[in-house]
Amino acid sequence: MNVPLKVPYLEARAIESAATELLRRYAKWKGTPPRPPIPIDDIVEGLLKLSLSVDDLCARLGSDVLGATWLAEGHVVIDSSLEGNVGRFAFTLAHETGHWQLHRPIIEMEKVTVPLFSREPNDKATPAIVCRTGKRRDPAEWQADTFAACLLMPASDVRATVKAAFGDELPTTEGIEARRKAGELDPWLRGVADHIIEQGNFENVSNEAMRYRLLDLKLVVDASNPQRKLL
Amino acid sequence: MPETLGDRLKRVRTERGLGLRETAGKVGISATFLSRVETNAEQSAPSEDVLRKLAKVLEDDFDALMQLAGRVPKDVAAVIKGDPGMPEFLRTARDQNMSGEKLLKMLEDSKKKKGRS
Repeated sequence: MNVPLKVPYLEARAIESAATELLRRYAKWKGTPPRPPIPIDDIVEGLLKLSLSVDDLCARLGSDVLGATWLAEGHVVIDSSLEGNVGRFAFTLAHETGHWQLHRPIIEMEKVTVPLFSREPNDKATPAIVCRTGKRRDPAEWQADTFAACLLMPASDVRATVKAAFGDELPTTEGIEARRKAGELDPWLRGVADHIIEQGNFENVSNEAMRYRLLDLKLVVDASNPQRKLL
Repeated sequence: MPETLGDRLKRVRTERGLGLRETAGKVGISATFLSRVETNAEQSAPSEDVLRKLAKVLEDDFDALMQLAGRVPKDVAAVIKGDPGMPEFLRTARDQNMSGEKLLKMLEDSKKKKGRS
């Protein structure tokens, strides 16, 4: 079923706060603040007490399904194709956590209708959020992606790492925004992201995710941006 | 319903605060396989070596895991194969409703008595 999950509008700032709040809860539960790499498995299984499985979701629910969350059972399933990919696995798990934190309360208030899916072939179908790669632009999927980025790459940690690596001068180059809009891979930005991942121990973050995070946090500067001097 | 191997592995792992991928990594198996065993979706039971490692990582009873997996440890199989009287002994014990636990207790009691005399 390809009906998008209809959720209320959420600002990026509100999503960032929700992710930060979850990290605070984790710190309180664990007795120490989490540092990158953010232990997403422990947040899911330990703190939130969700059941985690890794299974062939593609075979059961379609080739474009990488993650799904069964709401009544509190069960998260990640597609087995991601097992060897540390960054994508963590991001997908954090994305499902985003659905759990942001959308489950709305669903529980029955303000949103969720389609039913069976977790195992002979199981009864129950409400589940099934994430398809082709649905990334749906608001609910965008919100869960934003939550995942904020959770795995806390703004304070990314900022501190950029400052430690580059000092007070933010890394700057020409045409970042133009290339981003064109969906082109920026070799310079790729290098910066690799450096930040290594320096900040963001071991469970992909280069692509870090590139977007650096852009969203405005920690890389487009030299051709006329507003740059005003900042 | 009686606890299956998958139920037990998941329960003990959760009680120990160990993650699915963390446990699979320590044992040297894929998280997909461990996950399928835990959800009772896997048709073939883990091998003796894997169950031994799982028992070690989870600090659980190896023999109990083997029993739930429907497997007989190699050393136990060797005992049965090496002693022609063993199958009859086991059948008799079963017919008299003697569990392994009861037999073990009887042997220990007998050892204590011998020690005293």
